Amino acid sequence: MTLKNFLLDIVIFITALIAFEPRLTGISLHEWLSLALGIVLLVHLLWHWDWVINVGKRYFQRLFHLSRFKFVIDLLLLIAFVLVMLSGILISRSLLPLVGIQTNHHSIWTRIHSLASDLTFLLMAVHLGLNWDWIVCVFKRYVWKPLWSGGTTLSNVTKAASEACQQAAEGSLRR
Amino acid sequence: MKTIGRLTVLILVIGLITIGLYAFFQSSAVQNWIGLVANGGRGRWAERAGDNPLSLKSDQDSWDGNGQGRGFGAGRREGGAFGRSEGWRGNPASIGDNFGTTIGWLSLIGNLLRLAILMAVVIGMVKIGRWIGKKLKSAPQSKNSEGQPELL
Repeated sequence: MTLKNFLLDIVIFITALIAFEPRLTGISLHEWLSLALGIVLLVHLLWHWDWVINVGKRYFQRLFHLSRFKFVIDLLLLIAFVLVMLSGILISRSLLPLVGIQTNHHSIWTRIHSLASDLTFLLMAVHLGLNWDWIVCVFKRYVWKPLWSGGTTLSNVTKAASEACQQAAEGSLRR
Repeated sequence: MKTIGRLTVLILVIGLITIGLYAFFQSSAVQNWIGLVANGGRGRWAERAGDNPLSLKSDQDSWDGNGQGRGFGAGRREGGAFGRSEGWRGNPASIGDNFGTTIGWLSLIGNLLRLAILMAVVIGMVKIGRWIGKKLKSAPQSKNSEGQPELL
């Protein structure tokens, strides 16, 4: 599960970086990519459902803990991303016109889309920074060590090792 | 079955957030408060504020108008009349449909650099916070050990 999470996170990261830059992709690809990103993020949330519920249920039992701060940041990131998607749909120049709905790209939602995407970018950076330990741990176990051990296959990584990576980085589920 | 249930809950939560945000930003009080209506009613965004952002194709002409006002701010970036910047990504309304422009690649590299800097700051703060936490936890323990009498 840890490896699947990691691979999905890489996909999300690369897609988000490209989607954040419509001047690189053009508007059509930007909109389609953002739609795909939204769907992939739903999967990301589903795979982290247990963490969300566990931390949420025991939120006030240990308030001054990194996991609680991560929870708040993740919630803000969700809201910011929803705002980006909403404003993006309301100023869509490619997706909605396909179904006969014209949008006004000079409305306030253009400005809101800009501001919300800046905020999402900032929160994404914070989210990545807070989960850096997990990223490094998983990268070492699934990429770096197999490469250095002469092409050891991923199946040689024990289940215990992958769980240790998960718990070392998050470490808050039992607290 | 569990996955479908969780997905349903997620979609419901996201739907509620979407409705809340839409209602929040459509309110003229909020728009005034965050400065989206500029110059006391003058300017393009003031005209558009509160208008329905979606319309059917048959209503397109009403948005395009007769061309009046298009000269306003001609040669300047949209929104420039208000003296506001559109952020480092530029105005979405002025972006074309070309893939792989030079400015796009440069912006992507710029974004990566900004991301790296922001992440470094956050990681640094987390490490400092952990170091302070360790120091605070170990401080009472060291006092106890110093207070212990020696055994003869």
